[in-house]
Amino acid sequence: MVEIDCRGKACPQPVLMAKEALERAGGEFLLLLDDASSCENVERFLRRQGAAVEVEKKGREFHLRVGKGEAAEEAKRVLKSETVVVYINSSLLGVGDEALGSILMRSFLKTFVDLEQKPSRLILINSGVRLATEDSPVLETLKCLSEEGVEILACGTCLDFYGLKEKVRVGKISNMYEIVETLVGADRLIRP
Amino acid sequence: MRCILLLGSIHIVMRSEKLLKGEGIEVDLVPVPREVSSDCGVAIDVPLESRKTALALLEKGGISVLACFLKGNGRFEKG
Repeated sequence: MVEIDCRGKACPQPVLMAKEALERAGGEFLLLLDDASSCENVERFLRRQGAAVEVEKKGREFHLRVGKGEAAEEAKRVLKSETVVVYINSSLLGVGDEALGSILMRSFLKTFVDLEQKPSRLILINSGVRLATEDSPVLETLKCLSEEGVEILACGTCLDFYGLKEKVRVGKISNMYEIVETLVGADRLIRP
Repeated sequence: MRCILLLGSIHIVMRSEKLLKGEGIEVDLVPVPREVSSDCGVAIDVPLESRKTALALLEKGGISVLACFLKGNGRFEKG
């Protein structure tokens, strides 16, 4: 059985090591710890990921036996249910030539359509709101993502600024409260 | 059914898009599909029915098309 030695490691190192082991493990693994609070944190983390954990105290050490199969599958499932938020603050992707930036943004968003794991939300800020309006070159792409369950939030203030409120054709007009809540609640944030 | 045209560079893609759009052809730019090439690139996507016209227009404009793929049911065939 694979042994992961977390002895002498300071928090949050053991949890990170456990996470990595869980993601990689095709089989079972054993975690060695020598700190009670680290042990609790790691155990709690592993259980939350759906893993079967057996804790054995050996002198000053803790041996955590982590179950296989189910645990790894569960971890993958949890990973999939992560809240991934894409934060788009411009209608262009990257800094440089505008025409290229526009093409790259189209390409970037279209790639999400083919991805198995879709983000949960897409936030459009500043000139990014143009992407959700009637003249957008990615309107069909965004509609497609929206149909697949990706929530598209366009900043209301920005639409107002650009005079585009009436031209929104996909997603919903949102406000800073919802946007900030979404950002704070995200497991992962993608900012192209 | 769509037709994906691979071109030599992003500059040629941009020029081709402008040319085809100017001639009233429905054009879309798409990432080069993974099945086709592992390079990061952008390709031209036209409806199958516009394929012949598009190819003729590009040829007339001095633009050479590297390859043409047909996209149907998520699969690609060289066409």
